[in-house]
Amino acid sequence: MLLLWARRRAGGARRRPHRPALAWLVLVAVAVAGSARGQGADGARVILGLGGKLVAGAWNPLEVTVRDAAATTLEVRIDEGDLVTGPRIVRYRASLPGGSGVSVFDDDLYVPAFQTLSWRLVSAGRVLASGSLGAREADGRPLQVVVSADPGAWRAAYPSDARVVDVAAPELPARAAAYDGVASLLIDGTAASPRTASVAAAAAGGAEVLLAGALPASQAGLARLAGSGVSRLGAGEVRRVPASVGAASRALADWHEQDRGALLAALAATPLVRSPRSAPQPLVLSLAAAYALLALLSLRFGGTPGVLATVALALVLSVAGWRLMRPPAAVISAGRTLMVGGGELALGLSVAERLTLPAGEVSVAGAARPLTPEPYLTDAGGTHVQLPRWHGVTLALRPSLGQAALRYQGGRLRNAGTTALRDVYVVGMGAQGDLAAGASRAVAPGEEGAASPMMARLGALLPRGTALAEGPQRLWVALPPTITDGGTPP
Amino acid sequence: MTALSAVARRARCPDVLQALALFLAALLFVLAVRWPGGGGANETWFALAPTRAALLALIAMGFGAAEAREPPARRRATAGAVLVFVVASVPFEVASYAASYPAVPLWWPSVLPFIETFAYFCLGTALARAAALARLDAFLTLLVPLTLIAATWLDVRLGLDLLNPLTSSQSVAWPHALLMVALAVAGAVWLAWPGRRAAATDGEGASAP
Repeated sequence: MLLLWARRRAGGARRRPHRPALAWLVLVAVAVAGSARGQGADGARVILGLGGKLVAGAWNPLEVTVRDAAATTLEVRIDEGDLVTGPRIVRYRASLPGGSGVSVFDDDLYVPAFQTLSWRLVSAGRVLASGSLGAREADGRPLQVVVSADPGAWRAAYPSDARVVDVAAPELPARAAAYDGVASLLIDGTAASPRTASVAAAAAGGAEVLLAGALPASQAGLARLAGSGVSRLGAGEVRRVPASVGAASRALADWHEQDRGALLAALAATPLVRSPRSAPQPLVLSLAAAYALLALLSLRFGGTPGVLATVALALVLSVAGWRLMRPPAAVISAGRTLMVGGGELALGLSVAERLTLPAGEVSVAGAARPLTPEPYLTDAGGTHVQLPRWHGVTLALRPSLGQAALRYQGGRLRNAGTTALRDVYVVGMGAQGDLAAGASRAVAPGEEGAASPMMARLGALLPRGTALAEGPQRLWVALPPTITDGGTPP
Repeated sequence: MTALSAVARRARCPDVLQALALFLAALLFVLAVRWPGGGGANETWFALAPTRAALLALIAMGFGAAEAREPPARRRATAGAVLVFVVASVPFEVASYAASYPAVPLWWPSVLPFIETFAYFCLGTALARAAALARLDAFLTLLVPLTLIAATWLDVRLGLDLLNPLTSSQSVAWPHALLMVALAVAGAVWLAWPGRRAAATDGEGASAP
C-alpha cells in the first residue's frame, strides 16, 4: 500500500499538494493493521495479545473495552486452513453485558497459525468495531516482555530475532494462560510496579521472570517472589539479576523452558477413550438365525397363538438386543491433567478426549483447542467440535493454576496435598514409592524405570531431578529446586 | 373369525412364509456382511435399515398388487400378514440400531416401517387396478419393481425424499412420512369401504389358503 502511494506521488505531487497528509494517514493505517489492536468509533476497543502482539500457536490475552453500550458480542473468526485442506474455521464468541460507563472484558484465546483472523464487535445489530489480520501477522515466536521506563536499553540482552515488546505494568494480566506465548518478563523497577499476582502468573505460566537490579521499596512484593535470588514458581521461575544487559542476557540464555506442547502431546499419546466393541459376530448371527427360524416355525404351526408368540418374541428380543448391544453413552469422555509444579504453585495442563458414536457436536466446559486440526467454536458454553460418527477428538484445555501437591521443600519431597501420591518417581534417581498426604521424604536412588509408560514419556521431557507422582485423576510434577531455593537438586 | 385369526391363517400360507423366510435370510446376510468382526465403528444399521425398508416396500407392493382382485377380507388379512414381516424384523433393526448408534431417533425407524409398508401395500393394489384398466396385467410382475425403481430415481433426480424407501429410514423426513400416512389412510379407507359392499364374499376370501 505504501509502495503504491509512493509511485503515484512521483507523478502527481504538483497536482495534489496535500499528499503528505495522506501519507501520514496511510502510515497510521499500516501501523494499526500490523498489530492486533483495534478501536471503533464508539470507544470500543479490542486488544488481542500482550501489548497487542499476538503469538500464533499459543494462548493470547484478549481485552475488550466498550463504553456506554448495550449488550455486545465479540466474534472472532480464524481461518487456520491451508492450500491442501482448504479453509478451516475456528470461531470464538463472547457476550459482554451492556451498561453505562466503561465495561472491560478479559479472556484468553488460543490463536493457531492462521491465514486470516478477523473480529467484530456487534451491539444491537450495529458493528461497533472490527478488524482483520493476515497470515503475515501470524508470528509464532514467543514474546520477550520488558516492563521498564527505558525498554530500549534492554534490547541488547535479547537475540536479534527475538520479539521484544514493552508493556505497561497495568496491562499485564493475572492469568497464567495469558503468558503461554511469553518466554520472559523483565522488570527493572524503573516503571510503575506490576501487580504481584500478574508476575506470579507469568512465572507460573512458564515464563522466566527477571527482576533486574535493586527494585524500589514499592516493589518489595516482587522481590519476595524471587526468594534469596532465584525461585521456581509453577512452570517458570523468578530470578534476580544485576541491572546489566550482560547479566540479563546470561540469565535468559541459561533458562530452559519446559516444552509444554511436548508435555501435552505426551499426555495425549495414548488414547484415553476407546470405541466400544460390538458383540461378537458369530454370537449375533447365531441368535438372529435362531430367532428367524423360531419365528417362521411359530407362524407356520402356531396359528393365532403363533402370531402372538412371534410378536412377543420380537418384542423381547428387541429389548434384549437393545440392552446388550447399546453402548453406555453416545459420547464417551475422559480427561487427564498434568500439574507442573515449582514451589507452591502448579500449572495445570489438561487434555480432554471425547468420542462420539452418532455424528454430532461434542463439547468441553471452558476454553480449549483440539490437538488435531478441526474447526471448532468457543463460547460461553464451552468449546464445541462437530465430529462424524464414531470419531474422537482430543482437546487441550486452557492452562490453569493450582496449588502444588508434590513439591520440593528443604531438599525433601513433600506431599502437601490431602490424598496419598502413588508411584513417586524422580528423573535420574528412580522410583521412590508412595508418599502419604502430608508426608515428606529425602530423595534417594531407587529402582530404575518409571512406574508407567506415561511417566516414562513425561520424564524424558523433564530435567533431571524432576519428581513425578500419580494422584487421583492427576499426574503431579515437581520441578527440581534451584541451589538457592532452599535445597540442592537431587 | 377375528381379524387376528385371519392374519394367522394368511401368514401360514406358503407364499407368505416363503417371502418371510427370504426376507429374514436377506437381513441375516446383511448382518453377516456388515457386522464388524473386531473393534471399530459399527455401521450395520446403515446397511440393514435401507435393505429392510426396500425389501418391505417391494414385498408389500408385490402382495398388494397380487391381491388386488381378491375379496377385501383376504386383502385385509394379507395386509396384516405383511405387517407381521415388519414386526418380525424389528429385532434386527433394534439390535443394529443399538450397536451402530445413528443420530436419527429410534422412534423414526420403529414407527415409519409400519406406515410405509401398509402404504406400499395400498400402492401395489392401486397399481394393479391401474394396470388392469390399462390392460397391462401381464406386466404386473415387472411393474411392481419398476414402479419402486422409478420412484427412487425420481426422488434422487429431483432431490426429494418422498417415495424412496432406501433413504427414508436414515433421517427424519416429514414429507415422506406425510405422503406415506396419506397413502396409508387412503388405502385403509379403500380396504374398509368396499368391504361392506362385498361382505358376502368375506368368508370365501378369508378362508382361502
